[in-house]
Amino acid sequence: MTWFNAMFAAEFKRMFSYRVDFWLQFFVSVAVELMVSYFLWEALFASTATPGVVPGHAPEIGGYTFQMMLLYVVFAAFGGRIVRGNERMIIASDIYDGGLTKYLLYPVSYLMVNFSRALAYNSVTIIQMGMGLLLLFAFYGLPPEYNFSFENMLMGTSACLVASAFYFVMYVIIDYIAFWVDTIWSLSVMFRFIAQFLSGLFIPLEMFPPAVRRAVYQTPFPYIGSEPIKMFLGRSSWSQWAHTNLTIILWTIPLFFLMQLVWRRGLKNYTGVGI
Amino acid sequence: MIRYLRLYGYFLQFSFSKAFEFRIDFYFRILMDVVYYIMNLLFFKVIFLHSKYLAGWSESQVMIFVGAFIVVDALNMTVFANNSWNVAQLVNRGDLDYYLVRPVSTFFFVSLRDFAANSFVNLIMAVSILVWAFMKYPEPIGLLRTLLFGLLVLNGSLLYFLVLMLFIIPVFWTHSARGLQPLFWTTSKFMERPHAIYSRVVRWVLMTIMPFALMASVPASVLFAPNPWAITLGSLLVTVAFMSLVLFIWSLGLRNYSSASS
Repeated sequence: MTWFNAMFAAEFKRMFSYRVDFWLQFFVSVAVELMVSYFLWEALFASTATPGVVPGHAPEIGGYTFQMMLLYVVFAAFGGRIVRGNERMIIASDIYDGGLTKYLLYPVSYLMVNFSRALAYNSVTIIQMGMGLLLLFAFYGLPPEYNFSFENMLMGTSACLVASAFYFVMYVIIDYIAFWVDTIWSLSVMFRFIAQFLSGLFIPLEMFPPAVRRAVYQTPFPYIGSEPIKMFLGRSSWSQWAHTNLTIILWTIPLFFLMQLVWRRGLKNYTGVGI
Repeated sequence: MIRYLRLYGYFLQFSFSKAFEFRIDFYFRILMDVVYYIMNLLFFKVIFLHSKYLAGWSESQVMIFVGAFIVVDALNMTVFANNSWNVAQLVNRGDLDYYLVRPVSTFFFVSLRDFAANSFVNLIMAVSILVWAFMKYPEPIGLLRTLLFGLLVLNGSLLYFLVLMLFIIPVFWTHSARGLQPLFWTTSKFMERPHAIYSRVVRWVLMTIMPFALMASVPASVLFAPNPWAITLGSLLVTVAFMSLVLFIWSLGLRNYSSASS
């Protein structure tokens, strides 16, 4: 696995090669995301909110108090980044500019090269999440109804990592379409919109009408967003953790075989531009 | 002026014939924007399942805002996006030489050369969504306010492009792959929500220094606000200021440009 470590290290180095840009981009994007969400939920809670389930408790929307909704947004921002990974369409670029050719000559799997890159990216994202949460909790504290525990963090992070494998496979399939199509940028952006909306990364799925929510739960998306976030929030048990991960793995296995099929077919179509 | 209009006509002809060469991308891009529009509408539909108002805006008002936001986005994707995304590459590869030797304004050429014909279809859809939102609005909206709204949506679109260029032009000095575009995409999220939700200070920033509120939200508010003239005048002045700033920094950038190939 030396090559795996080497690829992992190379990706790590690449990410830190423009350090200022890297950290600025991370902090600004998280800050803007949280700010916009904060004002949106503040306005919505100010406009209306049903009284708490228990008399005298804080008002709720979709089962979330304002404080818990903000925490949901925080975990959606960080968890979503772990799940989505680097989304750089590296494979599509390699297909378009002929860069794939050199990997075909290497004695390692091209898929594993990309997987090691994705893992390196996720490792940095987890470090960023730790730092971000530490800063936020230090400055703003924790909502009184939230019990922070490392067990919840472990459940949430591991579920996000499993979900990231599903997302990686989906993204690779879309990238492989580049073997046939001149540009797949719009396709991958479209997938990201749908995945983020249906996984509850924009709005908690509890706010959707019940019939829609039931339909959404027939797809893998809630298990890559809403469910891991609930784990972070301490609203899940270990059995729900197992169910979430099992569901995602069951979705990933057939997609993995589909990905391999698309790869084999695509290679036959590969022209190796620039050779 | 006539010369520039004729030149733009040639750009359009060239762009349409190019778009039809890559047919699958043509359809993918249409589909992508349709999904984006639906997601935006659904987002606020879900929000309004839980409230009658959002920061004082009713659902029908917010739907007009979403329509405006979508039209601004579609206008940009159609007229400016392909061009602005290319600027960093032109500068870094030295391909800007081709534009510099033309007997027309380099900024005009670089900004408007590529018209995204596939996004033009989306622009028609976006306008249809906006018309639908107008038709669903329960109260009559006067012709004058509608005209001011139309003017401000066009102004918002131009402003969007100008602010984006401010994030791209630093590439003349940094030579990074995309300039500061990722920062623009991040900060532009402020534009996706009605400006009434923000605090007074943030709202002021979004109407002056980083005028994301002036792109769709303020144009929508001109339909309901008590004094539409002040809003219109303020928005136009900000655009003039940003246009001057962008042209000034662009000229500084050109002075710093050294062709990569020579």
